[in-house]
Amino acid sequence: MKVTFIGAGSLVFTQRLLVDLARLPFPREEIEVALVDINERRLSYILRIARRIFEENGIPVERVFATTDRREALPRSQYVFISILVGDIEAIRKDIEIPLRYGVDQCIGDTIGPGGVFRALRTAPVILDICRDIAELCPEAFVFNYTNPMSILCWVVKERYPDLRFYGLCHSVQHTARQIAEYMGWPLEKLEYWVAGINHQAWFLELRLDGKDVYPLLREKVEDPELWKLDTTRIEMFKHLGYYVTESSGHNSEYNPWFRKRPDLVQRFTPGGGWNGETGFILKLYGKDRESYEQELERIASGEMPIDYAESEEYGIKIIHALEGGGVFRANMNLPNRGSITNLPPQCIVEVPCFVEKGHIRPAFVGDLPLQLAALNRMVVQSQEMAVQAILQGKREYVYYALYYDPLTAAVLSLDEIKKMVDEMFEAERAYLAESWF
Amino acid sequence: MPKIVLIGAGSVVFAQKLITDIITFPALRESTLALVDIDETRLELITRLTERLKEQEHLPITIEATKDRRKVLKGAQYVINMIQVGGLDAYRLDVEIPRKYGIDQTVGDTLGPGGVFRALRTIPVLLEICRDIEELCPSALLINYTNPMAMLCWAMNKATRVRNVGLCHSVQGTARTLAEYIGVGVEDARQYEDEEYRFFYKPMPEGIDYWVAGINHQAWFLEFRYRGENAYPLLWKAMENPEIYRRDIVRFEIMRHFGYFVTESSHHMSEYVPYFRKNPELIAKYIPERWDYYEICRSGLAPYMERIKRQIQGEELIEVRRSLEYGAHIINAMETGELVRINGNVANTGLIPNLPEGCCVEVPCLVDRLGIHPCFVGDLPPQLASINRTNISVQELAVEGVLQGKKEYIYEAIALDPLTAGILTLDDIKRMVDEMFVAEREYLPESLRL
Repeated sequence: MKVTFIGAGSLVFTQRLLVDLARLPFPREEIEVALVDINERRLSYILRIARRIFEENGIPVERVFATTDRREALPRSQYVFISILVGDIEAIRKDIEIPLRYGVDQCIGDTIGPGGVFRALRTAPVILDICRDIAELCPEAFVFNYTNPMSILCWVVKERYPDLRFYGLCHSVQHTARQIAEYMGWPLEKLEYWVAGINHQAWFLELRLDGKDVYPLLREKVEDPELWKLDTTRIEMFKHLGYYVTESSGHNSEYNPWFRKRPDLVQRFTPGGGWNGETGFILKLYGKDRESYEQELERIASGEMPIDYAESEEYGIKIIHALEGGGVFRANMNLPNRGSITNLPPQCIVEVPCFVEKGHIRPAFVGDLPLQLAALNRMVVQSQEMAVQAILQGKREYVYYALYYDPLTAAVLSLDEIKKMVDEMFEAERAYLAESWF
Repeated sequence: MPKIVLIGAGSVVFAQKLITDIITFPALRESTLALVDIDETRLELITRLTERLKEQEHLPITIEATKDRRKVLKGAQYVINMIQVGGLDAYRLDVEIPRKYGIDQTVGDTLGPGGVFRALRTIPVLLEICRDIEELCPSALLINYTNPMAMLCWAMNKATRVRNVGLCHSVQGTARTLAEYIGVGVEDARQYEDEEYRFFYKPMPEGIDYWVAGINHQAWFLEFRYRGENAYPLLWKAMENPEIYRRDIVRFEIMRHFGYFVTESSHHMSEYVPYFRKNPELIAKYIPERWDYYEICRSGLAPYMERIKRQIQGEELIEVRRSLEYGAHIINAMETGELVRINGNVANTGLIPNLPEGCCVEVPCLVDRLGIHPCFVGDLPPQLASINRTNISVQELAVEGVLQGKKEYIYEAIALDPLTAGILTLDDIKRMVDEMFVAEREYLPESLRL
């Protein structure tokens, strides 16, 4: 069972999955791990951490190897994780700061909108290159993408490599379930939920505790002004649309026209800042002090600090366990909408419950979403579709179209202002983009 | 602990199996089982048998018994339906009248004149049960075991708001049979002398995987694998062995000509297409050994009752062993969250896009604490969808005939039945259906009486 991590230097994440791999009852001698990253320094840290995890769990350490060349790692891979970041903090700074000057105030900017679309323009070519190699070297592998913008990337891959077994994974569904359980003081393991929609905007269609619908209790709870201050825009939408949405209130505030179109609204709907909607919060997240971060890695790699063996929230390794025959597992995954959500377009990427069993991933049938939820998803999906066409056809006008129809941008700017903003972003990010755009 | 209501608990084929299945799950051992039957003798027998089982296995279950389902439906989470409206008397008419006209049905519970008339008798009663569920336990899951499966589920989905799933053992049973044909688990199979017992109780051999979809009694093994490899080549090879071929001629012929193996049995399948039962010579050729289900039920009843009586008296132990039926697995999954995959009969909400929207399809479903989640299957190979559609057209007319009280739809349903249409003229069909309407009058709803 060979698992390859592309972008393995995404350290916290890779470490979490390696811990899950060590925790679950895979036959020790069959585990094989390949770590790939173009950053040699990061790669050497994760290799040392992986060796340590293997050693502490009775997995032969020679079964993990690291390379900067993915083509060396991919042959024989049965499972491939992709978690990459194309471009550095300076690119992200431009994603945030240029639109902000035009009044388009983003918090994270990694999903849709100007930040999400330009992140897609930078990332998609690399993802497609990786997919080309997978199609050549391990075409049967299950590929799990953790890279954003999730929906646009999965959609591009589906059009270009329709035969790949390519799935998008995120932790926003299970993380939101945990938050709801915490707000209510419920044991997470007793909370049952059925969530569907699109990535970063999926809906808790059912929420049950011991078989009982507990939405009425949650509806009472969100009247608490203290809770409102922690998770503001999601609670606002819950009150007005009737359902709880995934991801964070900061993310969520960007994907609709209601919360960020005027400074007074941003002020009112982002109390506390941070994940709750702080302007440009992503720059803080990505701009952490690199030196102290590396010191911490060194302490883990050297054995000075203990490895945290708590079970992670990530679905990735549990899915592999089920695919290997370890029983049926349910996970929300991002994949083409083949009959699952009947009132979203058939070509889009949806995030729906899937049942994983030996050798197969089976998306569940969800049916129609409540109209008011489908409507918001469709607004986002149509913008994604134009971004996808921009990438596939290499046509700059589709980038304009994608942002003309972005719910937040459209609420703030006129058509010619949007075009001007996009042109400015193209110029500023030229170094990170293919020459063919210019 | 869940409350499970069994309606038609006197059922010979299902009740005892489901009750013993339920108690094999640790999480269900404290269930309340409410047994309902309008036949007092049958109800008393199954109640005493269940009490005997409780004693024998020292079970903490609670047993209730009544002739009036309304007394026990309140608070039920699961309702299992196993009724047979009109019993063997009506069933006899379903097969004997058409036989006079040359329509020789061996089962007659799914399609054709027998299946359609069974639907006419059963749908009105089932809808009354659903009305009671809507009133007394609206969030309960109704698990239907009664035939004709597709027509009944279609009618329920169209005319009620009851959560339901239709269950049959033909998918998992055929998978076990196919395993034997390709030589997997044959040794285990030899341990079972009684063929019927083997069918219900032999465990699934390791390494067999399948993906089956279509309609009830006519679903297709779209994938059949052994140890991860496509096992169809082994099946084609098995067909060359005359001993194996003879056991399942009709279904092997279907595979030879349409490319896929079908569920249920050769006897059932021979009724749903025009190729095998058109005249006595064909029947002798393709189904050399008769298997007339009405006769089997009639002659099997007394020995079955005798056996139950011996068990009640403690002269014979009640065997506690899990059967291949899905019912108890579903309840366990919904109570514990232990996921399970089943094949269930559900409304076609785009699950099989090349079968009509809304018809009843039998597709893989996953079950968790929230209930039954059907899987998307996609288009069937066109030749398989076409065979299914011939059957679905009959079902649709029969269902609409009952729901709208339109007798002409019933004539048209049977006129479109592939077997009947292959044998009779339209006026013969009219006469046959007239005769059935008259003979079965007492079992039919007012709107469908001649």
